[in-house]
Amino acid sequence: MSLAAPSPMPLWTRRDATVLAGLLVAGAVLVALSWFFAAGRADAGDQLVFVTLAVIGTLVGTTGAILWTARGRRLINLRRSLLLGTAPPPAADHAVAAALVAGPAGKWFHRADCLLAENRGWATSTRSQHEAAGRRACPGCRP
Amino acid sequence: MNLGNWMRLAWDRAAAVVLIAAGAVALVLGWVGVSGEAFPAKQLPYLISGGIAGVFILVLGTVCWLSADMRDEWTKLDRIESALNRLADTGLVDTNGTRPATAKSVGLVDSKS
Repeated sequence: MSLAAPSPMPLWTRRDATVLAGLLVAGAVLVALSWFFAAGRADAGDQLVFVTLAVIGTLVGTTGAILWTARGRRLINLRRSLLLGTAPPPAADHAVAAALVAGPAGKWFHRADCLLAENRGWATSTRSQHEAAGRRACPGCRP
Repeated sequence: MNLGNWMRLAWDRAAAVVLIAAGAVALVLGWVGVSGEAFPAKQLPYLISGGIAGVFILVLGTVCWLSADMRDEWTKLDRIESALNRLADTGLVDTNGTRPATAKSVGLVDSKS
């Protein structure tokens, strides 16, 4: 619940808000125009193009919503990691987490407990061996 | 806290609830309109104004709700940052290890915005 005092640093910039508002208004206008023109035609075949236009309008608005949400989430995650750091893995998982695995033709190497490496039976190698094979650290598990 | 206070303080969540309810009503009205017409040419305008517009309004409501969540999280991070800064200002701890990198100091946010 937003009961806290307003933050001194806003999460979204004015530009973010402008992009969101622009896409939402454009989407809403497309939907409204589609309804207006579709309602004035007697043939269902002629109306289909306006149904398509309305769907496009909804997609435009949804794109604005996704961009807005993704930007907010990204900034929060970045700020949280700056302030609080990354939590270390549980002690029991250290041995598994320390092992680095990769598929034979893979271009990424992963922690053994990475979701992308689970149950694949990939061989364990050292970081230098992975790097010598031209593999890069998985951006997901960040080994 | 009564409803009026809640709506004033949590306006974003109140807007989200209203929009989601409006979207659901639009979908139901669209379905009622379509089911009452025999000809596709009469049904399609209901599909647009009830179905597609209803989904659009639901998306708006969802954005409002998610934005409220993220604003709350951002405000909590503000509090954590100021608490860490206060802790560093006491001189009782190693400042190098305590004072946090701020969102502004690393360019995460524009202080003018």
